[in-house]
Amino acid sequence: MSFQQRKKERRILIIKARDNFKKGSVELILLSLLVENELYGYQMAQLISKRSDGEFNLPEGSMYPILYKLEDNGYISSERKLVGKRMTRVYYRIEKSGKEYFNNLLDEYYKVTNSVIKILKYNDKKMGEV
Amino acid sequence: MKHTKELHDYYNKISSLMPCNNKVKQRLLLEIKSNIEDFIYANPECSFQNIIEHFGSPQYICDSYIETINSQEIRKKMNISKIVKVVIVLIATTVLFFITILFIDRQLNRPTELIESPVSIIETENIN
Repeated sequence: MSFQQRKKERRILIIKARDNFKKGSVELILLSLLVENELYGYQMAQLISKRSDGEFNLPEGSMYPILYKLEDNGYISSERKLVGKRMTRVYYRIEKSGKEYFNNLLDEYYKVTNSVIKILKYNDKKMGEV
Repeated sequence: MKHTKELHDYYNKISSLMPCNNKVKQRLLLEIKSNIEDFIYANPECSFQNIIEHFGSPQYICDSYIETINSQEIRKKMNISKIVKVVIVLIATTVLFFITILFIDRQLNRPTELIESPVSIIETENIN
């Protein structure tokens, strides 16, 4: 395998890993947006991109299955609204149980993130000693 | 509207790949269609590739749906498909069994009348 090929493969692996990091937090991010306001899909995607300075670009189509799962679990609800003459928008709203779920999720997220940081910092310290 | 043909193919591809019921498919397509209209309105010069980058490829959307299904649901669906397969095999075997029985029964109960055919001897004269 040539150097270029190896570089390309590594790049693909890193993109996949970044995708996985993102996917793990999409549910939390969507709920955090809905805690503030009632929104439809396009608005959510815009807000995510804007607030992350374009770093967190989540393909919009992949948000919907997560929103449907949250709705099935009763954490959010949706409402269709006719915009103009023929366009329908689906607005999502967080429910009371969704807010509780969001708070629990946020706690867990911080716990996991902090423990990961601790592990990584420990490694850094050790490397520094060496 | 821009990219009409490509979008038509895009929606068809999503619809064919999504492993969910029609209700969910229709809802997903309704939302994607409406938001693509928004996207094109906000970015009038966008290419079809820009739309795919923003909304995700049909395969990516389908994968995202599969990822939301938990292992218990997947196992349940697998069990259902196993049961369906077993039932189909059982029905096919039963049908085949009855067809065989029917065939054998018809063969055995066939009227056993002797066909008396006159034996005709054709004498051929050898011209030579």
